[in-house]
Amino acid sequence: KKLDQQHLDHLEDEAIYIIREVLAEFERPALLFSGGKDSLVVLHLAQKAFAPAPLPLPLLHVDTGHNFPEVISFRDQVAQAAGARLIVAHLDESIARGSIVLRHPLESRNAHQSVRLLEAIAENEFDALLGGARRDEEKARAKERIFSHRDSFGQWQPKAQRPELWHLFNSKHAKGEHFRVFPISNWTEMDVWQYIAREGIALPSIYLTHRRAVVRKNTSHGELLQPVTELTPAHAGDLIEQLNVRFRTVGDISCTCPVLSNATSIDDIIIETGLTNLSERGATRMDDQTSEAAMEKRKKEGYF
Amino acid sequence: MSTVLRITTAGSVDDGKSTLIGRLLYDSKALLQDQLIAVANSKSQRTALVSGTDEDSALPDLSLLTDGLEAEREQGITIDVAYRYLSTGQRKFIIADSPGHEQYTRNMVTAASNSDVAIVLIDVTKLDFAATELALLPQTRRHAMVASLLSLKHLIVAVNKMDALGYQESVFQRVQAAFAAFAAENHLPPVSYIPISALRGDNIVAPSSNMPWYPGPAILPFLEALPLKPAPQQTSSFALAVQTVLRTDAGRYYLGRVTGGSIAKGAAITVSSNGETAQISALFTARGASDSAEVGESIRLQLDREVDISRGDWLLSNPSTSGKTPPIASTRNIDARLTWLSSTPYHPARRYLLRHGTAWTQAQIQAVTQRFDVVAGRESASTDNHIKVNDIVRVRLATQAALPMVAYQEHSALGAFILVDPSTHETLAAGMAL
Ligand SMILES: Nc1nc2c(ncn2[C@@H]2O[C@H](COP(=O)(O)OP(=O)(O)O)[C@@H](O)[C@H]2O)c(=O)[nH]1
Repeated sequence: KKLDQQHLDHLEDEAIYIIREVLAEFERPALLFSGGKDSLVVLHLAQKAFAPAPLPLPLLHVDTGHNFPEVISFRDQVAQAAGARLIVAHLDESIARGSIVLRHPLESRNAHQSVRLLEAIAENEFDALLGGARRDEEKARAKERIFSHRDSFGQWQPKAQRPELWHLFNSKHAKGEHFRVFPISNWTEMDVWQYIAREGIALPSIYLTHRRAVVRKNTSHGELLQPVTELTPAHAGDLIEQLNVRFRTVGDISCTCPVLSNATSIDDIIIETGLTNLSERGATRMDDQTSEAAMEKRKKEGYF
Repeated sequence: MSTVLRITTAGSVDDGKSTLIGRLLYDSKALLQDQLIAVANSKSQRTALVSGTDEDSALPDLSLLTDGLEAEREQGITIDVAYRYLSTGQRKFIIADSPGHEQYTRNMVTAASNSDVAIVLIDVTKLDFAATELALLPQTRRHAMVASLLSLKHLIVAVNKMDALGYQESVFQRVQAAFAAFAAENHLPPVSYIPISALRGDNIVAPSSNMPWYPGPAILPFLEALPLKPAPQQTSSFALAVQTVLRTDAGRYYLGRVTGGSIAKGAAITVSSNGETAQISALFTARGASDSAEVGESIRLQLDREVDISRGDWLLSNPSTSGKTPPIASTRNIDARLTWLSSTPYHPARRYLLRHGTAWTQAQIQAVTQRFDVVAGRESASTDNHIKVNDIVRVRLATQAALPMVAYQEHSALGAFILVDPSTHETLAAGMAL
């Protein structure tokens, strides 16, 4: 217990240092905020970093239009309570403008977020975005810097990453380039849950157990529970089951799956997290499983 | 005992670094089923399933776990530093897997700059045991020297692939003797030796029955129990690089992270840039109002009077009141070791950007005075002023602003800096003041 608390202090101190660096080194930073647990943690840390002053940067969300409604209304409430300016970049705007072309109306909008995100960065002239990505999530992310440079096309060049020494971050960039900065890079899923519990950070309801219609899908990595929604309807022959589930991560409906759970509190989630034998993305994300390098490819294109 | 142990692995290509990390994660149950299935399904399996006598060793190629990038899997090599997390009841671990090829020094310096200990892997199948005096490979010497240069607190020599030489005690003893001789000559940090097979899991998390002659602990229990002396800056005088000054209705707050010593409410501090002093009237950590703060804590503080302080300044303990140490003088002339990290070599006509703490200033290299031969462990006078990638040199630098530099060995945060190319913005070099 004491070990865990000291460790959370250490992670918190590191994250606050990183967030303060971003505000000091960049002219127009923003915080990527979806209302999901990782971005809620980053927001909480940013508030602590500048207390007692109000949050000194706007929040940015790329809304695919295919998000869980509970999460969207939660996002708005939290932004308001924080007194923050929330900029919502809708994918529909890019579709209307023609910069995003869907192959078919129900195509997953997840991968298209990169386009809208880069447009929003250009529109607002952001030079740094704080994000809640963690290195333990995925193998391409395990290689990413805390201060991650993006070229003028918003692309990540994994083989040309700047070495990152001590905590002497190199924020220098040319106009039109930007940085993604990940203050919780060194946190694991367990650290995030323990911190949420310790700090009493409120979460959207779908992180706790609820009954939901799902269909079991077999993937190369194991079984996923696909929620039955308008966007992800059941197909003929699918067996629809009403199960007790919760989400470990929330993203675009088309690619985020819940897990079986009876957790009614964050403490329950912590216990389940200690026992699970599936990783956060492995148990819940369809988008990473199309190929081994799915995440790396999206990241290179400008994804979070 | 510190709660987090930051570890870097050092070895050349194919010494077994990735396999070792995979093993540590697998045997300590930090690897989850889907991650194993993903590795098993990987297109780029180098070796087929390792067939073993017991079912435990029938594992997929664990090294693929840390090869996170497509190019790495295609080429079967690790290109960039990957971070892995492991937690046991005793400690938390952050493992930086730094690849051993091409940009070896660059990657290792990067990984080591944020590590406490290094695991240096030695692949026994690459050594010539027929020689009367066993010679270490140049890269082993290089890795050990870099670890020492960066002031890591402990080295673990993991003598790997013991299975391939029949788990012979004499193999281990000869490697240990050769390394110990090298360590003694070069004043390396304390060293421990562990014979392992990363592939078979010998001495990784549990003692190996294949090497009953080795009485010591396996790698993981060793890491769990390893006591670390506090770094010199933990016991030195207070230092904090100011990140931002926050102006609020309640007055001014100075924000930053303690990088040296500790500080208490009421203590006097000195501002590095103008020598002004003031007393700390209020102090807050991330956990709330506090009477004191220690190394590593991100704090905000208020002073008893208005002082001219801005980002880039250091707040240092006031020598007249602390009495412990002489004042830290700021200087524009720096004697430092540089490790050159970029493939763009040094150009004598150019000025560079230098970051020290939270300050950015300009710097020019005045002279390349010494050249460090990492393999031989020798420093000798430089006859030219070339610096290229992976070089470790001693230089005299002139900076535009005066900086409170302290020898890196004594206070890492006050002694460390980076050089950045003002045109391309590439990080060119890591610097350590002498
Ligand atoms: N016999 C034997 N082979 C090993 C051992 N550890 C690693 N290897 C093999 O050595 C090769 C290189 O290992 P890898 O972990 O990729 O090395 P890296 O380049 O240092 O990361 C692979 O084929 C491994 O299976 C060991 O303990 N014994």
